[in-house]
Amino acid sequence: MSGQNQNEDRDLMAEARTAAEDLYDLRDTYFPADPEEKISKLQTEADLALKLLDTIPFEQRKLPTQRAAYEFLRGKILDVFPDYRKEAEDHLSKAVKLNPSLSDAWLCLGNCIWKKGDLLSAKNCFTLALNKAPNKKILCQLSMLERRLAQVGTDDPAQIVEESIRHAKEAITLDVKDGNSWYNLGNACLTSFFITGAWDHNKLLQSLKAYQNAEKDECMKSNPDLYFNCATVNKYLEYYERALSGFEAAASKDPGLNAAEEVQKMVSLLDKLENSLKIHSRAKRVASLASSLADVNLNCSYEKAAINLLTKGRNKAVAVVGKVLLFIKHENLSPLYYLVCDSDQTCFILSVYGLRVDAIKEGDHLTVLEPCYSAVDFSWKGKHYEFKSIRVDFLEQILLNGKALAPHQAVRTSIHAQHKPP
Amino acid sequence: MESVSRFFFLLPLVLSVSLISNPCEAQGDDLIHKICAQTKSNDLCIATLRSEAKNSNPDIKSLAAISIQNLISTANRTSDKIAKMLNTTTDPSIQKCLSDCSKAYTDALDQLDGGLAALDTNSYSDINKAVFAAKDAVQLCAAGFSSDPDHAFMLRSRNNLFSELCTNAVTIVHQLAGSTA
Repeated sequence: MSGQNQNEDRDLMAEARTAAEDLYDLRDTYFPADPEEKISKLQTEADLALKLLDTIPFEQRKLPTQRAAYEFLRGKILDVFPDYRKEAEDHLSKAVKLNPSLSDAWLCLGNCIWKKGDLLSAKNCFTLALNKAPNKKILCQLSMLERRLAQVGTDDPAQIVEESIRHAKEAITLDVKDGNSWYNLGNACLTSFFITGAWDHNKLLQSLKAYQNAEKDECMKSNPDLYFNCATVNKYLEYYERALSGFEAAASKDPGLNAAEEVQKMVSLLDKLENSLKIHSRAKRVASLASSLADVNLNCSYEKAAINLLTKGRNKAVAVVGKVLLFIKHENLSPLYYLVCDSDQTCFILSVYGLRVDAIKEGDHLTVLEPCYSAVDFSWKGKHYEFKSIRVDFLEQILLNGKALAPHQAVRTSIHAQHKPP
Repeated sequence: MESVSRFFFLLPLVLSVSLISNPCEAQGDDLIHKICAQTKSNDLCIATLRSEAKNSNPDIKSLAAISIQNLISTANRTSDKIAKMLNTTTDPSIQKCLSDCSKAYTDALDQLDGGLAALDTNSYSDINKAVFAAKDAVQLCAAGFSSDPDHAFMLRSRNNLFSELCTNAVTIVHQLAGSTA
């Protein structure tokens, strides 16, 4: 008889566990037009799950492990809402006291306390759970929490973000095929790029690699934000073709994201860059402008070079001298695009990040120190784009009419190089 | 019997007349399709203009007004959404981004009010400036979140939608300017 009762009780506990999981599935997949409808639905389902939990007889919730499981499920159900609930925290706290090895309870408790705004206590929960046993979900949550700590201001945000990356990588070692863990690492590397001054493109490349690995997981196909974030990084790196593909993928996975707008803006930009090169690089005009560059002497240790001599990437100890032919207006705030010709009359596109729009004018002489060069050459939907491009990330890289740019000509946008690397 | 047969004689005539759509509505719809064909987001443009232009015979100017008013109502809805998000988030850095977005949308609304006023006086370049300024303002909102990849999705679809609507509005105003030249 007691055995049969035990089976029924185990079934009830299992049913309650399933109800709690279904509740969280609802939370993660139900997105009605009216957010209040979602809250209402969650409340209804949570009430049903709690009722189910209450059917478990008291005698079968007496043992510490049984009680812990009960308290955990109660807390988990109550914590499904986006706002902080003290009652949820109380039950989850009881659960971990009764059974400190209940990792899922520590995870839920950490998330609950996080919602309250107590990031350090939340971190303690995740760390304590990991001390019991490694867990990829908790490692990812800890990694994300550390990024929040870095963003809200601490003594050493760069060091905390490195911890975030370390925990993200640790999650991946537990399951190398888990797309969510790779996505988390991608976000960690991207955050590190911004926190450390937005100059180290290697961090962006690491981020891209992680996102690309995340995309291999079928489960991530339903995450349009992954594709959008990846496309945004590609856009910043001026990998135009990859950016277009990424935005298009994001748009197809979630038309509500309006990512098609990003595709249109980029195509429009590329068309403008191409057209500018065709229309404004007429031989006579360029020849007369370029002739004035021949006499420009560099009063520095850089060797003057024409764009045709540059290699892909950063060209150290080299400077390109050019004349600004045209400021190319486009729909985004950053970067600024100019059509420039060098002393060999070769026209190229110059993209400048972090500069005020009125700093460089048509007709100005520019000296670009250690230019970062790329050759754009790809086709998109039947249109071919081909042009040479130099990008500038730091104010110190530009001499305008022979003079350095003043600090006040820098502009702070979210994506900009805040300081030159040592 | 005679009245019944008369009824059945007239019935097809009555039905065929009722099936012919209101010629004014058809004309309005034709204009909407023609205008929207020039935009980059044709379907969005048609949906926006049709929903507000029903039961009327709009001209290009009233369609331009509808597009700007739609921008205003979209910006207002997003402002309300941001206010709700600010009430529920405890993370200071997200609060900062949301506050910046709130200011961005307030700026955008100011610009769009100016755009509507410019429409009254047929100042087409001022309308374009206003719409572009509103679009730029909202881009700052998107830029604020872009350095936080864990939360870059916040307001993303709303910001992108607003940007698309701005692009459509500028195209419609361009056609209005062309039609009066």
